[in-house]
Amino acid sequence: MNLSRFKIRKTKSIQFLITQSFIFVTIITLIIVSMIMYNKFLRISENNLKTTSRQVVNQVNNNLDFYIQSMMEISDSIVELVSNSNENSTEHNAYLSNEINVVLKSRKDLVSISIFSKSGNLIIGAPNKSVKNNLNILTQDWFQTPITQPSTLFFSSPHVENIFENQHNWVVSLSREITYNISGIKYTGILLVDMNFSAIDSLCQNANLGKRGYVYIVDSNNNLVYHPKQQLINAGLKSENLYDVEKNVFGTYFDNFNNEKRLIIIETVNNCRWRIVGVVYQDDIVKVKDDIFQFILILSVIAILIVVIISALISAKISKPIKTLEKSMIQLKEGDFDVSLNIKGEKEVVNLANTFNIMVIKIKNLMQQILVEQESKRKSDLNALQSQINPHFLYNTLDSIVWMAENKKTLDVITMVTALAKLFRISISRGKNIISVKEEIEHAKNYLIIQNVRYKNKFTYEFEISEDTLKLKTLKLILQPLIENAIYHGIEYMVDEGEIQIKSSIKNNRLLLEIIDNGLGIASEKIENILTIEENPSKGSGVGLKNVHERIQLCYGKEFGLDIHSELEEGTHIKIWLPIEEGE
Amino acid sequence: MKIKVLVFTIQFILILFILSCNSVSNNESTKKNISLILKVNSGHYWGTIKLGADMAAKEYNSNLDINAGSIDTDIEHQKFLLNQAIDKNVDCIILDAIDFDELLESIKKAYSKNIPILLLDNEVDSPYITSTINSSKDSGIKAGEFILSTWKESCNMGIINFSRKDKSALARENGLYSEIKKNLKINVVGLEYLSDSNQSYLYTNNLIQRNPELNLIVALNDAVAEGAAQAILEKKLTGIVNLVSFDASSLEIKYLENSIINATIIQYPFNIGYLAVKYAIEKSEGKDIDKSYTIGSKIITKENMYLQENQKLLFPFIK
Repeated sequence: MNLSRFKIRKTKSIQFLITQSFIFVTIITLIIVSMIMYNKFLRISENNLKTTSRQVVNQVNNNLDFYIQSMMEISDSIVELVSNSNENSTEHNAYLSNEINVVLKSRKDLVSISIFSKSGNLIIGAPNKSVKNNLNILTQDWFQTPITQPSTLFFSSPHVENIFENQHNWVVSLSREITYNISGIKYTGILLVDMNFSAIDSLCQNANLGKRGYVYIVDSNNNLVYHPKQQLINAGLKSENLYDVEKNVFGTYFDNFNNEKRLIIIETVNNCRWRIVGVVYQDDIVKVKDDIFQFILILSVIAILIVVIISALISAKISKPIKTLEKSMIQLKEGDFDVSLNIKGEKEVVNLANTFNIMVIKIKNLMQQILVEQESKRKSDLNALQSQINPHFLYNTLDSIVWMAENKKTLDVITMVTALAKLFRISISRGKNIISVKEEIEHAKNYLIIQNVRYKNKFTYEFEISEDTLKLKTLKLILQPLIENAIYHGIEYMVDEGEIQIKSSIKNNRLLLEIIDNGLGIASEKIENILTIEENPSKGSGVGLKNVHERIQLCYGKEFGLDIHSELEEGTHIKIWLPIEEGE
Repeated sequence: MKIKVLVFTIQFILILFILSCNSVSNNESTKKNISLILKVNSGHYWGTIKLGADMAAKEYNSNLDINAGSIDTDIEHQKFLLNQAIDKNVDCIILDAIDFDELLESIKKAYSKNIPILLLDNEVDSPYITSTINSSKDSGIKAGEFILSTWKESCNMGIINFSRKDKSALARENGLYSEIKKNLKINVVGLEYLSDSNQSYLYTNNLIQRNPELNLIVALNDAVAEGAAQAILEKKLTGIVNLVSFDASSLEIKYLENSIINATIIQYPFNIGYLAVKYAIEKSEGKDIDKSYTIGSKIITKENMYLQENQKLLFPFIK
């Protein structure tokens, strides 16, 4: 029971196997390829983001650098301009003022250029606006620093310009020491150049660092110079991770702020010791990751769907001819031998189908053959049976019995009928071909009894039977035909009384049966052909010498059979050689 | 049997497909839509709120619509804008109402559609309102505190308000009163509701004439402050008749620099815009938010106006 269950689980249809393997292979390949692609994409987009972000920060840096450079150049040219003037006459002042105004107008984003004395008075200024009257510049850092550190350039952080009336621009200020002449006396003062911050501001605002990324600027003391969320930071609603920025002077690193991973890019600005910090949120990269993942997922699902359908179709196509073959074989199994396959398909299947057709035809032929053989066997069995019964002999004998009965020869009738019965019993022998020698002799005896009555006083007979032969086996119906021959061909036409002798003995390790008659004999030419040429059954049972000989040889082999000796007018001596076969 | 297996496989794959499509579309639809309706689409206040609101929208990845009429008393237009937002089925509405009672019906409609509404500057306790973000009352309180600390001994003040109906105007007034009533030596000699600087100019002149002991005027917004300042300047009463104002228009800043205005109280419109949008988004995402938020305000004087942190407040735009 266990075995059959095991067997059933093992055999799956070809279609299923093909589909299954297609899908399996495709899924594995898809998964591997997807994972590789996914990782690659991810890494590429991460790198892209890093590179772009670095470029953005770099761009801001370059612009800021250019900005600072311009301010420095302007301050240099002013210094040169002023130091080359040496008179404090009104025209000269006006001339100087004019020059400075030209410089101012030459650049759109210059807001003001002014020179102050060490006591805080405005010496010269452009544009020519009045100073706010309640201004105390002495304490302001742009004024103080160049005084305390004479050869430095001071850069302020972005602020609202508040020196001149009606001016509230956002500017970055550069201040430095400057020498000017009044009436030939050199004085040191402070040069202040204010440049509009709006360009830098819009640049920083528009820096594209992913969806949520931004750029901010810190100075050398790690104070915020500019931050897009400055107001929120001032109000305490937001904070910035300046601690790490202080530690990492410049470069690229990741930080973790408010449970969010961010990419930080820091670059230094030349000349003013500011640093630009770019912040990119990892989430933006993750969003890309999710997008890619979903894309690949959908792609894979569609691909699997297509593969399933295609593999189902392909496997159906492949297995269809095989299925047809299977069906026909089942038909054949159920006994229909007229199946003939006309299958198109793979080479192997077509070959199978052709071979199958040939096989079916062969089987059909074989079965026909068997039928024919069975038929002929039945016929020959019937013939044999018929021959054993010999109608002529039967009619004649029955006639004799009737005659005897009419003539009230009761004893003769009893003898005849008894002999006849015994004869036929042994003749038929319940279909057996091999009987004992005793029975065969008995058979011959009964035959002779009957013939003796019919051919009254025509012949006599004598049996010489060796005791040790009685139990041996022999083919049946070998004595009677020969005796019949002896009577019809040998003795019937004799004038004198005939004599028939039947002997049995064991000679040369073989069973020897002899039939000797003193009849007409057989011509020596005839003897040769007697065993080979088919006799016409003109008289008698038709089972002639040839038949007996053939049967013996068929049954026992070529070394046994009939030996015929005969002399015309003298008699015939037939020897039957048989093997010794013991009976039980 | 094999048909069953095939069908099952296809079903399974379809489910996977639908799930993945779902999560894709989910990502798209998680972007919330916020509608911000202000009183007027010009001016310093509007511009700064917009900056803060935009920043929050960008940071929290949501869509933001900012609308307002061109006149800050045009209640009909504001009603229209509110209904428009409700019809668009936005996720949350932030409203700076010109007149709360006029808009109540539309507000109820929004409530029935499950659209939460955040009110700016309106301490109304209505079941239809999810939350209020207030700062005007606080600014009134700060003004009161400044006055208490500066003119402890005696103070005869006139109050010029800019609207009888505007809740933020009333909030400022209430805040102011809540402080000054603590000092019995402060007298309010006049209280008027005027709508522009011209009216305020005339009224100030009048008030000065009628009240020679007047030493302080409190003007509750930039328009009326400018009128009052002009009157004081012309009468050369700078320093005698002091002026405390609200907001920081460029004229007010000039007056502040020239000591005509002693102090001005400013709110944080940038922060208001930012926080309003932030809370609106949080509410749309299903998180709980407080029933009311108070965002502070600051006293600006000539001395502190150029400090780093105040510069950004007074001059939010880089020109």
